[in-house]
Amino acid sequence: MGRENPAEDALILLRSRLCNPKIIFKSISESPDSNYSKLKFIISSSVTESCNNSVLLLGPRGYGKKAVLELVIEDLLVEHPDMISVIRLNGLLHSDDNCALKEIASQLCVEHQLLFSKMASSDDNSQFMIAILQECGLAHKTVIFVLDEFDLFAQGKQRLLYSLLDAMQSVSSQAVVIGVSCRLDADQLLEKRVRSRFSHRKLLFLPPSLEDLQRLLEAILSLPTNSSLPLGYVVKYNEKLHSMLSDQRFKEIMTKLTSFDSTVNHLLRFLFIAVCDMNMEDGFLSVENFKTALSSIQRQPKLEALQDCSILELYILVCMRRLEVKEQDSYNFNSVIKEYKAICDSCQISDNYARSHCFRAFEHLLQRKLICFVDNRGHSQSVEFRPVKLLISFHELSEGLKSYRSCPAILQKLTVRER
Amino acid sequence: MAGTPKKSLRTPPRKSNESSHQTSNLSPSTSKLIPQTPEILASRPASQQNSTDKSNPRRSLRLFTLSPDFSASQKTVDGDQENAQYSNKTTSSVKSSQEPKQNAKKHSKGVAQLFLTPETPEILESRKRKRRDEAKSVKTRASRNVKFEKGKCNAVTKKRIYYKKVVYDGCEFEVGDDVYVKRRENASSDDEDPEVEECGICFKFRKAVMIECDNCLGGFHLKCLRPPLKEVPEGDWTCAFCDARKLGKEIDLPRPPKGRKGVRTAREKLLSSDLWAVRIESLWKEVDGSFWFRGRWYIIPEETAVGRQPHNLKREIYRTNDLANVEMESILRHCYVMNPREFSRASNEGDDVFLCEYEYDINWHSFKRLAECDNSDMDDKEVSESEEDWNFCKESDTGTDDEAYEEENARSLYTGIVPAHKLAANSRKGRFFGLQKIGTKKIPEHVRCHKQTELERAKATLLLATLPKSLPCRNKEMDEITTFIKGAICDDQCLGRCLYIHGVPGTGKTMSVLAVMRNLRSQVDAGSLKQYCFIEINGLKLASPENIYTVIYEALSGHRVSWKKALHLLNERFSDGNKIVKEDKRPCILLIDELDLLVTRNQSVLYNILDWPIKRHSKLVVIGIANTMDLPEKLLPRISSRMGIQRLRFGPYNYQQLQEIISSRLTGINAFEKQAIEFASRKVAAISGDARRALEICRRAAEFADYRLKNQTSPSNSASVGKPLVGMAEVEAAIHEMFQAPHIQVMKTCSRLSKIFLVAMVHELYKIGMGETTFEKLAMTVSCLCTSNGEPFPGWDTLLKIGCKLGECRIILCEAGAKHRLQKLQLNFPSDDVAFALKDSKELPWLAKYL
Repeated sequence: MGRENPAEDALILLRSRLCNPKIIFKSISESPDSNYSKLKFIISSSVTESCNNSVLLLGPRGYGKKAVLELVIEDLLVEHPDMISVIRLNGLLHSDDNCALKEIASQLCVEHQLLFSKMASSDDNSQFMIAILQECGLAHKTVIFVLDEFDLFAQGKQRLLYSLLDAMQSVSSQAVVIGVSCRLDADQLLEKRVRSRFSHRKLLFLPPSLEDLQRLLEAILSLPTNSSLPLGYVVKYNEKLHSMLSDQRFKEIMTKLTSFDSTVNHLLRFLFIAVCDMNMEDGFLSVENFKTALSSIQRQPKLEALQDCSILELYILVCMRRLEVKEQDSYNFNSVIKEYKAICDSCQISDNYARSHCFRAFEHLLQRKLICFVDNRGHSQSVEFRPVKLLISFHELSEGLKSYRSCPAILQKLTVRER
Repeated sequence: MAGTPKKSLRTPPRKSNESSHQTSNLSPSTSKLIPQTPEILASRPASQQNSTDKSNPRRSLRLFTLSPDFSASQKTVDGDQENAQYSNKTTSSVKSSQEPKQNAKKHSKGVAQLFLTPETPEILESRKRKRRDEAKSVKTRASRNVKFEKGKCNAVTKKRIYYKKVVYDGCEFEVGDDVYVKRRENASSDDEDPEVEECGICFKFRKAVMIECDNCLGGFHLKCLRPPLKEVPEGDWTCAFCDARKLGKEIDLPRPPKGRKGVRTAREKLLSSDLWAVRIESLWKEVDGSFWFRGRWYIIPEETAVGRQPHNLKREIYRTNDLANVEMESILRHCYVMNPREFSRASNEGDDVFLCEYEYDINWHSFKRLAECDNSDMDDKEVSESEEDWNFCKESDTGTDDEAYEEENARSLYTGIVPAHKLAANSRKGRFFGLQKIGTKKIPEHVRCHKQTELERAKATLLLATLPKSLPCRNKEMDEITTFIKGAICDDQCLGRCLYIHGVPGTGKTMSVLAVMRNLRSQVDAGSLKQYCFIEINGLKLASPENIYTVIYEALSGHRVSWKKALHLLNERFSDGNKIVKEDKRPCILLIDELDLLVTRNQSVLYNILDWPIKRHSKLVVIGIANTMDLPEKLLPRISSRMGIQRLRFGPYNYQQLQEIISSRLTGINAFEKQAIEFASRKVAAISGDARRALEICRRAAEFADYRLKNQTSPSNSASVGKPLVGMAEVEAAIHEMFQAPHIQVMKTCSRLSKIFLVAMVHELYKIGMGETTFEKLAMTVSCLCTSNGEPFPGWDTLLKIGCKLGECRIILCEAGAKHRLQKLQLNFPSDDVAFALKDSKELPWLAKYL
């Protein structure tokens, strides 16, 4: 490499590692108990024993369902070249049955180098799909249908799922339907007759244990000794890294991170921010990097929004809060202004703004979603008369006021005092 | 499956062959005749043809024999095809028969009445619905026909006559038979065709049992072997020469005695590509009286693009999609090409047995498995379609017939003519182009040489897609359906025939109906039942309920029109009796699966469909299948009065029935413990009684066992070979996977804050007693919990995010996060589940206090 600074190369290496989920998940999916090998067994047995299967991959977001699936598919494509075709659908894009069938037909056409016609009716498309499934089954070819956001396919009449699963139990086909969903009750969404045709293989994705995460962290961050990087730098870097990993402060940061979200994806995002923060002069990671990364990944948007408010906006928020304390459930701009004027009169404060200014501040708060309309009806009504609601809790408000740069003392008093 | 070799037994003389002729005398004589006087052989007694009766040429494809030996009521056909049309096609593909054909053409007129050999082909055919008494008057009719033909020679000779079965040189050839065809006409050594294979050691023809080596296919007398064998051993057997060769030894094969060449059998010649094998697709007599057939070539592995692959068996050949018209005299004799199942069962058919599992596409050089059942289905379809065409054509002029025939040809036979302009694959009115492109370039090895383990066989039979040999437990229902349909068909005035079948999913409704239809189909083929047409429609596969008209009309007539037009035409067809009297109207059985999907707002679709059977001349029978018991009651009274009269209930299976279903599929496979099956079936019977579920559980259990077995690297437990492999533990695991919701596991492993969040929800629930809470209240509870237990409070926005994540996987139900403190939250599972999951959490032991 032509760069003078080995730190840059190291950074590039680390980043490319972090951005490639395959490397990460490969390392945690070796054991036979892992979902990787189970899924691979299911799909490959369908390839080799020419049978149909349907699998659901369940687990909260960020647990690596898609990553593992992609890993498996990639491996199988290498193992059985020319025998697997993959059709990918996404519930967000193709939840409409006709559209999904069309997409399937077009992907099948691309796969087999056939000419696709956009004009085909959905009947044609579904017949075409079944015909192709049959032909592929006869030619020992497996078709893998990946249905991402599977729960969204289970809306309406579920014609697509029905015809897919029905084709799998009646034709001499060889297909695997893989549903990926973050909803744990995805299979309960299926209609009875569809559920009866579903094979009910379920793979549950769980987050790795803390020890696994620790090991993964070390594996990701340490530099390899046998690369183009200068050896002296690598040794020194790894030394520093190990000392940092055993640092108490670093451990605290990690518990904070994992207590919020212990998924691999979250960790990767966190590490990416931290690594990008690396000091290029000396080229080593420090605890400070991780600290800033943590604060940037765990932001408190409402509190930050409060920091950006003007004094008048704060007044309005406080007024609304006071109205709520008075158990006035529904209020609109006019009642808020009334309260504001009352405060101004009673406390003799200097921040007495005109109504038009107040209105602009009110609109600004609406835009920032610190307050919102109670309902979506009544668009014809002018803004002043529509009832609004405060979207920020009392605790957050008082906290925000406390940390506000130049908060008038009267405001803080007003929040706690009745009158 | 494919690898199971033929049981190695050969009967020396092929006595098992049907014909009582002595082929050994006959076949050489015919083959000698060929080069000299092809026209003589080609000429058939034209007098026997009865060309007066005009009927569809393709209809004759379905003819079948009544009397095996004599031409009963011959049905000749006017093909309307010009010779030119055929010769166009033949020039490209005819291999051996070009010369004879030309000769035959020249001489056709002159030799039309020549009878030379006594074993001239007798044409055996008859029509199904024809009265049998015609057979008596054959003689007179035949003689009459001679005159007739002479008289009308000009007009009639243009016609080509199709047969189902032809006796040629004393051998019966039927459509669908496989035959050897000569490749070179001048190969003299081919003339002698030893009927009996000589022994590989003594080189003598003897009437003794021979055994075949599975490796080199050499035949040996049992007594010639050293040591001699008493009887044919079970399983594979290889000869001593092959064994030695495998060990790398130099061996000298016994040489045949001097002065005698080793005679090759037809099989050897075929496998060394000196002969061809052909499957007869259709038989006809040319205008000039010569007999031709259209054949589908077989190909040996060496001739494919990839060559012989290591997993190819010795006797394996491929069917191609290459067709040719060949004159019948180039046929040598029968051979037997079988699919793997027949092949593994075949033991006594002699030497001319071949295995064919794949079709080879000569254009794309790709392989495709032969669908075992698709042949018959396709034929049926073809016939009915062409018949429709024919009906249509009778009224209009005959020009369209050629077109229709051409089209049909192109479609059904894959002539291999690549269309000049590319057609879209997915939209040609239900026909798809380019499907023949799909095929493997190489047959993957793992599907061939892999011996299936017990578990894999169990998995294969438990598949939902495999059709079981028998359908237990539904005999009563099937009988009822059979009587219903039979009654409907046989009754001339079938009125208001409608059957509603209901039952929960997976109780074999559709399967039973289809099985009944298969039975009836075979009865129709046997001639004991009237013809009918059967239309199967699935309500869920229709794009919209109205589309059903289009589908029905297309199935009836082969034309695709818009649904409004189809409705009009169908109304006309079913209600208007006199208009369609001309057409022979077969009763029509309409099976509508998932009937409830056809319910539209004004229910007109259902009304129309159920109204037709009541019409006088409709001859329509409707069988509706749905899950709900009370579908007729939910409909308008005028519909339920038409539908709800005759009902059939498919109750959920009880556990004995499920057990019987599973074990009937698993007969002969020793993979499951008996209790395991019972456990699975009891569990399913208690929940739903769905046979699919029960099968899937067992399959999954087998998969678990297989997975465990394949991950075991050490083959240590070979001691437990005899034991069943799938036990209670696997079934338990499968049931657990299928019926258990995974939320408890997710709760157990979710992050710290999520756990606190859930506990706070439960706490809140106990406190207020209300299921629903808002985010504001919950956050207060969480902060209370955190402060009293020394846990840092994460901040409101973080908490909100956690709540939304839990909501995403439906552990809790929540509104959108934008509502912030007003967001409503609710547990999606009973609070006991949370308590169970989190009570003994190691990282947060204090949670138990609040549960």
